Amino acid sequence: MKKRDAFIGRLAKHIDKIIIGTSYIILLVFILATASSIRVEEKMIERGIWTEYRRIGNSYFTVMYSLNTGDNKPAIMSPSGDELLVVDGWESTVTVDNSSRSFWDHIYRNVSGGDEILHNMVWDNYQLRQTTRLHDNLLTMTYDFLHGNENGSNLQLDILHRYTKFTTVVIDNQTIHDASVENENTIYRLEISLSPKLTAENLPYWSIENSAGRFKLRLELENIAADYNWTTVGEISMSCEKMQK
Amino acid sequence: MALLLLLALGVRIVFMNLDHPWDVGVWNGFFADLAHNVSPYETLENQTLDARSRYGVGHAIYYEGYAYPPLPIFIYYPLAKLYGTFYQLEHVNVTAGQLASAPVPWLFDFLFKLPIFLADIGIALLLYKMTKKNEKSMNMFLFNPYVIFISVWMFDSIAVFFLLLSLYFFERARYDLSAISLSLGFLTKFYPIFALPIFCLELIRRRSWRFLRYATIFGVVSMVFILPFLNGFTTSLSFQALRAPQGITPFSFALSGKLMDEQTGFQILYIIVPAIGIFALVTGMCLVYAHLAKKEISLRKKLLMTFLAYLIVMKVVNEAYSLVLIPLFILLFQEVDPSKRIRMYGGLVRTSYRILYHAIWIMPLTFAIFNTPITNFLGNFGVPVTLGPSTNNWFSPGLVVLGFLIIAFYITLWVSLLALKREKK
Repeated sequence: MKKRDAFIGRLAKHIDKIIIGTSYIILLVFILATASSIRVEEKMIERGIWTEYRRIGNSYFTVMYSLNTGDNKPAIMSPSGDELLVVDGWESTVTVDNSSRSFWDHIYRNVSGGDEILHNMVWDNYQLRQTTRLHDNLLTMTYDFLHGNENGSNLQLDILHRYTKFTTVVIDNQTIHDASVENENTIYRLEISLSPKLTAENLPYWSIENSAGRFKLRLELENIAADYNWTTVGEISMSCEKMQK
Repeated sequence: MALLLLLALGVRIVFMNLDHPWDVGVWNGFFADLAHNVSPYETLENQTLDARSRYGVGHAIYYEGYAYPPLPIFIYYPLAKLYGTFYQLEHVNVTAGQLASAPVPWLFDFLFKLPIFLADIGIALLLYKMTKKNEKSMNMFLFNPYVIFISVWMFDSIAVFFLLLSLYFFERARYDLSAISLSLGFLTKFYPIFALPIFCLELIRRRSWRFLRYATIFGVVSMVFILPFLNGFTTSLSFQALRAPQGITPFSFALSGKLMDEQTGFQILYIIVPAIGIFALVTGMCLVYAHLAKKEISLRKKLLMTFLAYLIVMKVVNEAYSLVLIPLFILLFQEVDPSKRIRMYGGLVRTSYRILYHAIWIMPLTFAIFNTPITNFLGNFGVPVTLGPSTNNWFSPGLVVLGFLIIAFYITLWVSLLALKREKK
């Protein structure tokens, strides 16, 4: 008891020095936390590698792929880094037999494991599955479709992608945005390939609608037969590199 | 007294249809979320991602939605459910960079602001009790124009009520209840946590081990409410940490970074100033705690000095933040004659506590009138929403007035803090 009383007495006597010392430690921790993340970002700049940020919940699904450039280094790191390309779930829609819903406006089932994330969008008469795989510098999104309409179903996917003005976007060798024209700064080159390929002779499976900072990929397929198995309807592959000016 | 309380409530109800053009959209979305059993933190995340994708991270790191602690979710859940039985609730999803103006029904304003008005009454009753049943103290708070204005805008009154309640219980040696009340204040808005070290230091100064129990109770009660929303709570903290400077603080002058190119402006507003802000906050608050730790002055003075220092070092000082000082100043007038002259620096500074008190609320109120501007609170009456003073012209009359108010308010805070520091007991 006496020892405890003596301790609290010493604590009360020196509390001001303890507070000052604690503040130095807190500031040191902040500096070290920020400094270490700067070093990590510089390594990522050298390798130019995609990083992945996943937030998955019962009614919430976000996967963001970004090239961590180290340009943004706040004291408390934004966990998703610098998003280079975002698939906008609110403005991406699934239209099945003339009935349209946004990606977010479905029941979700999400499965995540290893290199693959399966995001199931479920409605009462169909399912759309978006499978995302990340390997080294290549990101692949595959869309699979499942429905029970014995007369066959028509499917239209409108997938909105947003990109930064520092990104040159090339889709199937077609440049839809050339960042080097407008910007003095470091730019990123995003190469996208679509499958099935765009065709010149027939009606394209994929079409591209491009406006400032966004492009919409439309995939149209008719008379998809009802099946108990998934039908792969389209695939988007992306790779990205940082180009120094 | 009952008549006065009813009158105060009546005045607030008369003005309750005044709504801040942005915040009312946030509250409407908040009610929509609760009515549909959706966590407002999930909406914050979704809206943040949408804002980033539309404008890039440089423009909007976080969407300015519900980024508060979780207690208001519990307070407003039944009210939102009730409201949802009368009205079809939809989000007013205003994307970042746009102005919000959502005329809302009378019932929405009534249900959202009722807990705030009751908190005002609670603060007034506490002041009445803590000033030996002095009705003047009660009226000073209830009929202060700034207090009424903030009460129809923001829910700071609820946080301040719990903070004052914690002081009330502490002064009556009911430390457990004090810790619980302080925790509830922190769970409403973040800033009451700055009072925690003051209470603990007071117990240490009295050579009491109760400070450990006090801190533990605070922590446990806080965790009970935070754990179910841990992701959202940490997102809210990140939002606060990464916020660009704004409000009645000299940090706001960094907004001149917007005149530079986008990347440089972003670096200034979202990297450099937040880093300086954290340095200022940690250093400033620790200096205040170190100074007050061994002082034998009243707890009321210590809390007032703490929150004066808090407003000095914060990079974001919105107009509502000054509300916490009002009841603390009123309590100060029980110990110090408000007319007592203050002379400092060889007569360069000549004022009184009464003048400082009035400056503390008049300046933020005036700031809000020019900055918002005040006509934007009339959206429910069909008045179109307009932009406030533009940062494209830093010498426009509106911005000159705001700049003057920032400097004057900052000086007022410093003079108040230094004057209290010089008080012997």
